[in-house]
Amino acid sequence: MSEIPRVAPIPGPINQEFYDGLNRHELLLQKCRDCGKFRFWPIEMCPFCNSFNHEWARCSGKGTAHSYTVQHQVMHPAYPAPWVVLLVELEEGPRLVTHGLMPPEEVEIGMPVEIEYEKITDEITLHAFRKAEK
Amino acid sequence: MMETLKDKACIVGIGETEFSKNSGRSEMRLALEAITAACEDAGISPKEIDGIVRFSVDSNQIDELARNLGLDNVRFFPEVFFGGGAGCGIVQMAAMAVALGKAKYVACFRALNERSGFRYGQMGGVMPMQGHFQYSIPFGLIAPGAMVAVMGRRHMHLYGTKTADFGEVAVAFRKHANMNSKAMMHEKALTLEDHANARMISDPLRLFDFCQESDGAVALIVTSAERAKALKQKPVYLMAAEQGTGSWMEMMTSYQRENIADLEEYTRLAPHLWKEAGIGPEDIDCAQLYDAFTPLIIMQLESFGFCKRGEGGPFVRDGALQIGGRLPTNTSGGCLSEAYIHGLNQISEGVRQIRGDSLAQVPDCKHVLVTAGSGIPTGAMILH
Repeated sequence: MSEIPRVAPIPGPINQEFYDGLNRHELLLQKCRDCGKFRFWPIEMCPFCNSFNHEWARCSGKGTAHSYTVQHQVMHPAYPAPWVVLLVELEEGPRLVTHGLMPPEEVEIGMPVEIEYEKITDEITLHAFRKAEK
Repeated sequence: MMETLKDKACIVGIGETEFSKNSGRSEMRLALEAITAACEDAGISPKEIDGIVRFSVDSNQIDELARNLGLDNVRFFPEVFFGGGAGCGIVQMAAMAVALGKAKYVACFRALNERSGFRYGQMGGVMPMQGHFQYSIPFGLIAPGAMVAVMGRRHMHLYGTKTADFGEVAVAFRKHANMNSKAMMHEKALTLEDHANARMISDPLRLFDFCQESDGAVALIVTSAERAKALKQKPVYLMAAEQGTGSWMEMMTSYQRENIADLEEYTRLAPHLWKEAGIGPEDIDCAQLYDAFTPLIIMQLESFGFCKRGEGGPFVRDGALQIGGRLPTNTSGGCLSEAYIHGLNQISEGVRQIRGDSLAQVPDCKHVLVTAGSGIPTGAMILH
């Protein structure tokens, strides 16, 4: 953890499992018990089949960089520049905004990536992604 | 039975404050100045206002506005959510009300001290992390411009769009601002080289890909086509108006949709808009498109059918968006170079183009497309 903590989410009933999973270094996403599709971010209803039934299913943590930005202007002291933000498309389908753990010059769309975990406060661990090892 | 809103309502008055970095007065004061100026422009007394439509995010509430204006019977007062996405929606609400006789004169407005007060570009540091932004801001995707940079980068990847294409957008609108003495960037020239050499903010977006931060207010008076004929100004008819969302809609980060380089909220409302108007993109003489960030213009041109999906970059090259180009756009300078009044200043410029008294007048301008905020539930309309 850095001295200036990163901005932390405030978990609630809809997403407690998601954050509990990250604390255990597991990426859990909602998966519909009726149609089997994954969704992100956590919401009440399956937008594909309108079912309320879901489970929290563990994801592989593998995906590809769907897009990205490199932030060069410091917006908050806990995010030094240059700061890589990735939009990762998971193998399971949904996309996550995440911290990219690679030098800015190495980021490219389509790049395979794998999950890491960053503890940002005593209560909150977030996902981050690095280049996948071949 | 009324089957369409086409030509049932008109914008008959526009009022604006000055646009600045520090207005030195309250947002209520700004709203009242703009509303009373719009009444004067229309040739009505403020006491004739019997409807007010506000942005949900505006700090000024209906009751306090009515108290200040001395209105004792406001009959219609809805509001539209989603930041700048409300811009055209508030006019649509007003038009529907006057067309149905639910109000006679409806004031639509936006007043904000966005530069001297709460700055949207700084939101990551101050927003409670409970809503959907908790899935972006904690990871360092903090400001709206960075959120659009992710979409712009994808557009470049899919279609070969160049950062110089973003530059064409910024340069075109700056040229228009240079013709508009009210524009915050009136005296500052901008070249493609300036754009390319500016400091990087959120790769691939540089300084001049970002809009202004402004204090100010704009108000419009909407009435029925019938009443409009008796008023002071040439009526500007609402030929069509639509609101829309797209798939996996969320404020600024609709990243689950199949193509994040497609502003689906416009793509899906556009056919309804053209159908109601009975015209197509080839009939538009000038456009006032919401331009918080330059890639949004390229994507909107595709959504509304001015070019095919992916061809927005080539479309804007060689000054196409400038006066004399194939689609003069944001002729007062837009959010990029006039002021960021959440897109309401683009509606007032659309009105001036139809009246024929813009400072960057498009010759023989008959049809203007105006859009509201991008990447959020939004709206659009055609004025003539």
